[in-house]
Amino acid sequence: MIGDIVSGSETSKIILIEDSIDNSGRSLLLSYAVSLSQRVDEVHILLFDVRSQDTYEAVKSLGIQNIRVHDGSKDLLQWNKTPGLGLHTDVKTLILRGRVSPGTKSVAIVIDSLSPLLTHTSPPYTCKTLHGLISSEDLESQVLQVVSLLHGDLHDDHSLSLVHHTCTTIQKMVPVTTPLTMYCCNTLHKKVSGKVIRITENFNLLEDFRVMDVSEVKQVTKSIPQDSNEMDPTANLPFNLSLSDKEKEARSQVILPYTYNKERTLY
Amino acid sequence: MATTSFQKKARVKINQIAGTKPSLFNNQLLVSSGVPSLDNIIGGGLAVGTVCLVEEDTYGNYSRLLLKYFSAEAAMTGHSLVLTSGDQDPSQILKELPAPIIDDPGEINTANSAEQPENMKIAWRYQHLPGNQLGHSSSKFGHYYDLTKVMDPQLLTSIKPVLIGPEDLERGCNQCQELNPKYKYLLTRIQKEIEQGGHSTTQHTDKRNILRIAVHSLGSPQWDECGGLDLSHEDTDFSLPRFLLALRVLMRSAFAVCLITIPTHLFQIPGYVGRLRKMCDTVLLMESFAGSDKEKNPAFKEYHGLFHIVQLPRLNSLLSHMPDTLDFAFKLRRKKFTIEKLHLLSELSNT
Repeated sequence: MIGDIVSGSETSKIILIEDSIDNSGRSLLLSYAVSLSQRVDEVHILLFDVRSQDTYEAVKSLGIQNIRVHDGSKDLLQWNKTPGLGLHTDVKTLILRGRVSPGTKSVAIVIDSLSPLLTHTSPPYTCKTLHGLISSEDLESQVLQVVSLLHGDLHDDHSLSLVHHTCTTIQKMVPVTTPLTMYCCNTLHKKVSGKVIRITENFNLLEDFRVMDVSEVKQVTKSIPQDSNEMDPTANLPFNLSLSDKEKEARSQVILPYTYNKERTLY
Repeated sequence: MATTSFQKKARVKINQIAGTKPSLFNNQLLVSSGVPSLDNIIGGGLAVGTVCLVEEDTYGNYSRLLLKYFSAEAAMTGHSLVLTSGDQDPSQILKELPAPIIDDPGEINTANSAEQPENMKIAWRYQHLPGNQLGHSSSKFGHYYDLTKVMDPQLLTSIKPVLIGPEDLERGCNQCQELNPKYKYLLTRIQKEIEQGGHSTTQHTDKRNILRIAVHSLGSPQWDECGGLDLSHEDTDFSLPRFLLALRVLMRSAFAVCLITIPTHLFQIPGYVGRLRKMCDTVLLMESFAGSDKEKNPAFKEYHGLFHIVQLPRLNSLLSHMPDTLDFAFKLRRKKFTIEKLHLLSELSNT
């Protein structure tokens, strides 16, 4: 499942990676960025986190052409009135300005991370921002996907539930179960058709952030003993309830009471 | 030979509104919700002048389906429609309405005349009685829909639906003290629609029509609603109950029915959802099994979720309608969506 979502075979408009201090999701975020760079014309990475410098370095080292990084972590709330990215800037105008080649068809947005936005502004503002990013109104091209990282241990359940309601795929990083793999995540994917898939998987990430070795973590549950041979109540009876063919024919010949026959007399 | 010689009195010509019928219990004017199985459970249909609240299931799929049935019923009966959504463009919802299953009345007539006297083997007493007697209303009450097909857009354009999408809400709202600006804007729009369409009870028109108002996912974060909390995250924001109260006041003096879906699972303040329920007339709750443990429960194998009737209104009477059981479940088959009584599988013992 996770391989499909990262590679794009499963479409999902808004993806949320929820991590915590013990299980980091930044590498998975970069894996999304790399995969998206192969599928869309431009990938815009918005940095809001203090730790985003690692992301910046990693992306620079990959040297992929169509990834644009916008660093907003220096002056988040724009107290110094620096131009550029802040929490309250209109992201779309920023993307339009920073566009290199005009006439790009598709754009993807990667956000690292959403936590400062959720902390400094209200949850509805965050949800509306996410929702607004996916609609391609002000932008001339289509936004294919928005992937964002969120630190689950920084926020209360209520705000998290509101953000979860807005996203179509939620991937929660959980502790690894087997020593063979490095990461494990619990994915909740809401398909367009309405079906909901919930799955926990172990996976590895290679040097160039490709997803490998995906294996599902199966829950061991106690199986309910199925009553396989259901008893037919008409079996093992001392009397015979079934009809032979001759008897069925004779039954159809019986004239029901209170019917009129040819001479209009009652039976 | 007729079974009885009793003859009905000569038909009284009532000025009937298309798509409505009087309730069998208390003579209240009812409209169909679009799902006939739901109409049967709640006492015949939704009463005109009331607000029906549908508490959404966790992922909102089935409540959106109910909304689609409601809107499709508007197209079939020729009622006016106002459709609002904060999450998505309402025209998208309109594009996915199910197509009605229209049976050809011509066929039934020929079948009746050519019927053989030996047709029925057991119920032969009823053979010579005339076929289905249609009531005085020309358009049927409650239609069946096929989910695999999409409704013809021509049917929709004939009723001229009014769509209020997220952009309209964003542009139209003004700062307001008592109420969330978007709710205020929606209220003013609804009031305008009632007056312009002649649906108010104070206006006298010769051709009365019902206005159906369908609101999708009210109270979701896209409506600037923080799950009942105001901006400081400490106090409760009472905008939503106030909106529902004002809406109910508008409904009571109009020939209109309102169906609202609210994602109440996002409201975690104790008692808040109770307030919302008290502010509405009919309250239904859909609990889907998707993604939960109940999906694997063998007792719920055939169904896709549980359907709870939380509240039924007492309109102009002392009692509300009480269905014979409160255990309902819904299932979504390929072609249709039904709400049924929850049947637990019987156990045949091994003796």
